[in-house]
Amino acid sequence: MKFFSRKCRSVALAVLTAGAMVFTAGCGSGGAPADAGGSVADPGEGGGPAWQTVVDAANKEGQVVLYSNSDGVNAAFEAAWAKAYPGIKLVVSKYASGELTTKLDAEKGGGVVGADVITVSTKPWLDANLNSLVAPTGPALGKYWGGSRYVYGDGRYVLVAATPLGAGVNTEQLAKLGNPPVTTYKDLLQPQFKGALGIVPGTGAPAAEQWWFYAAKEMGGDSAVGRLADLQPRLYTVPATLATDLASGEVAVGAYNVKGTIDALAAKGAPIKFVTLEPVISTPVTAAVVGWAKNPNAAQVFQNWLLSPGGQIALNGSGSLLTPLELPALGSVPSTMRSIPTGATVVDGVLTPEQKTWVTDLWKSKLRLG
Amino acid sequence: MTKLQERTAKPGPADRPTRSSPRTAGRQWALLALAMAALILWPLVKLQARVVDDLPGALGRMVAIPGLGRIYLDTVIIAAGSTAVAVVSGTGLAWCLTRVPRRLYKWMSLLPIVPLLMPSVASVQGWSYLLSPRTGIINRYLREWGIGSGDSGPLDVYSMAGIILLTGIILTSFVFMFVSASLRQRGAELEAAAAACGASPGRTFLTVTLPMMRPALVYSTAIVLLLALGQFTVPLLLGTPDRIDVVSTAVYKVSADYPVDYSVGGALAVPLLLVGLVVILVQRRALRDERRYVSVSARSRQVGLTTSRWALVPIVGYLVVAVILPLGALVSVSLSPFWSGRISPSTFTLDNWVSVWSDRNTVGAITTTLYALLITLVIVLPLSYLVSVALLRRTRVPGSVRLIVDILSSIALCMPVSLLGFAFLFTYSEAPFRLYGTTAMVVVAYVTLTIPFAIRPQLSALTAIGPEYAEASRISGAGSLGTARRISFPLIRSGLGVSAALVTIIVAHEFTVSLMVTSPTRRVIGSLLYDETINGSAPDVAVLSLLMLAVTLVGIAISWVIAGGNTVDKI
Repeated sequence: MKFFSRKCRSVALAVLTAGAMVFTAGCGSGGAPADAGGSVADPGEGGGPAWQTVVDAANKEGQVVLYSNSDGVNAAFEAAWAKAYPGIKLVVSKYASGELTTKLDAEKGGGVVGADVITVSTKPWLDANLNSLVAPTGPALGKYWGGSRYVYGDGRYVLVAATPLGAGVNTEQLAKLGNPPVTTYKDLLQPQFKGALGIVPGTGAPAAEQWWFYAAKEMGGDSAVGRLADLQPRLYTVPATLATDLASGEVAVGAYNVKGTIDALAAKGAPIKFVTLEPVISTPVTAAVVGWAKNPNAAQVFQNWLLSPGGQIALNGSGSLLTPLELPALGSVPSTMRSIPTGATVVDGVLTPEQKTWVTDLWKSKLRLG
Repeated sequence: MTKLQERTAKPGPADRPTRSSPRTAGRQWALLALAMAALILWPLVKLQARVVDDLPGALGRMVAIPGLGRIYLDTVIIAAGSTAVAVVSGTGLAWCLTRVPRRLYKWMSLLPIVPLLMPSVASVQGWSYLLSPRTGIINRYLREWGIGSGDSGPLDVYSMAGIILLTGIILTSFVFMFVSASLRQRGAELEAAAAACGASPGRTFLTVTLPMMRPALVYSTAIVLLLALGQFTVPLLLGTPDRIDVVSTAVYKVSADYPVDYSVGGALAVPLLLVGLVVILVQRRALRDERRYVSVSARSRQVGLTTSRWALVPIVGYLVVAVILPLGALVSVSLSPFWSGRISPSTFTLDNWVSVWSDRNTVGAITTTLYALLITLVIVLPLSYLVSVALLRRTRVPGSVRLIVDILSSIALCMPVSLLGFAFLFTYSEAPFRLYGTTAMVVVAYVTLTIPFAIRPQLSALTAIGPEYAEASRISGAGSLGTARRISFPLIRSGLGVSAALVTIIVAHEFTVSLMVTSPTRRVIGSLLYDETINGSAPDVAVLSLLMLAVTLVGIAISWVIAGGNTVDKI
């Protein structure tokens, strides 16, 4: 009898727990996606019957898997896609740069389920795997990107955005430090910031290391790295965790960071703001369709959309990222949207011998990075 | 004395085969060893083959890693420090439990186990909100009370001491579990006799309790040391700001570079593998005759012992430090719009919970985790039982096969989990397996990871019950299966329950290997949490950490049903 009652209790507990989970899941399913805005331009315009066949096949596939390391691929972006192609589910997986390419290397030879489309910042991987990438077959590439210097390998990969990296500041903490100005790279080296500065050193992400290479030049050259190390900056692996500590006040100033990440926290009431450091140095967001895609038609439809005004506005419309296209070519766009300025530095993730030496002998050494 | 005991431990007539010849039995156990090798060794062999192919180059590049010596030194410091913290506090808690007032014993015996349910990533996140140098809640209070000066400190969780203490706290429950189970199973007659002869509690502990706890202490110290050597979560999340790297995080960083230098990654882990093997061999040697520790008692553990309410203080204190404080911080952050460094109930909102739940990935990940857990349990429990039987010296297993099974069953503990993840990815993504993107790949990885943990409680229970019951069953004509079903299983049911609970906890909390073996269409809660850590906000990470805890509780409820009783109590 005792065993029976204990068993009953056990079963009841399991049922109650499972029930609570289902109930909670049900309660949470009502969240509405953010309004994504968008473009009236038809991404398939000019594609003809052949392209329509691809779209129909994509709808039958019903899903496209995107691997990305870009902060621009967010809920609003996904909502914009869902609005444009409600019959094709977008499955997004976010990875840090190195993990993403590792995952792709594992997938490409195995014929396994994985990515259909990728947005990465690691150009060396794209160049090394050019034959494993598939050029877009949709009309958007020819229509909007003809003659663009951001199309590589006969269209097998395309720079679809540039991420301008800057600094984040906690306005309350900055006030405690006497409101020192933070508008240039050199401003990061002010002695007041000793112990109050956070940095993402970008170890393992060549594009991020290149960003620091150029940023250090703006700070005053190689000696600036030593002065930066003297400030004993706290290290962070990704901008998101740095932004969290900026919001809490653990650090007063942090670089590099991404406008979208900082703005999202500021919108929730965090006393932080994004500072564009001049001149703007951006990292690339490069998109490609992979040859081992299990949803090849959906991958083509997604890539075509990304290259069309609709996809460009979804990715770059907020102004957090910069579009490589001229705005007039995109028709009606949000007022926040910006193009990559002429002459701006967009790093390519390919470390030159000089940059490699700088990263190893100076950057990692001075900052004691493993 | 030891030699004499070893001689008397040689197999007696009852150990001789009754149904099958030694050669046939040897072949059966060799098959088990082969299955274990296929499961555990193959991914590692594939990985280490890369190192061997490029050995001179890999060593050269490895030596060129800045601060390599410091990485190994920090690994040793953190492993030794946290093992010391865990063994001392875990043993101390187990001893305190024997001294708590009898009417509180049952409840108090549960409390030190509760921290096992807390995901280490949740624990680390919680403590980072409490002890961040500037904004940590406890640090703010301490500064307000005049302890410390300036706007930082006095405590810093992002330090070597912080990492050691937190790792030690997380591992304490493991030691407590093994030591307390051993104490409980053995009864208190010997201690009561010592007390009756005038020995003080301290002397009784040193001269009677401690020697009798040797198997449990050696097992738990070895396991905790191996876990500490391969520790990843705490150094990864707390070591970065102060540039503290261990081998696991260094391997992870190597694997996050493009192109990935797998040879260097594998080479970095070789010393850990060797140390792990040495630990296993030392452990095996220290416990080579389990008969010396056989002592099953029908009497209550506490009969004849002096009890005191003071014994409650360390037990409750441990629960507060390991669970209540970090959990409170996590709940607070999960309800806040963002982590502000302050608890502000006026700003609390359920928006983060709604946002995380409305993400279709969340429910999918939880479902996959529970499904993978169930299948893992179905595979691991019988397999680990067979391995436990093979590891008993009294069974008719050839010594060489036993040694191989022993090493294979523990080898996963010796490898940094970050490296294991890549080994699984490359092995099971390629032909002939091609399991990537399936739950099967997740299950294979989980089985490999959890086997060492599932074996130990069953082996401990089998060791403690001695061979007599099984021998009596065989002499009465029962076969191996019948003896296992009717004699061994009921007697080691608590061990099975502990195994199931441990597997549940490891699977529910795992995120390093999960990150590599899961695909975007087949996520588990651990990989989702990692994604959120990389890309999300603190409140979302807090929500997912708490959901991970909820998944653990559901898993414990399942293992409770499987084991036919209160698993936590049985732990």
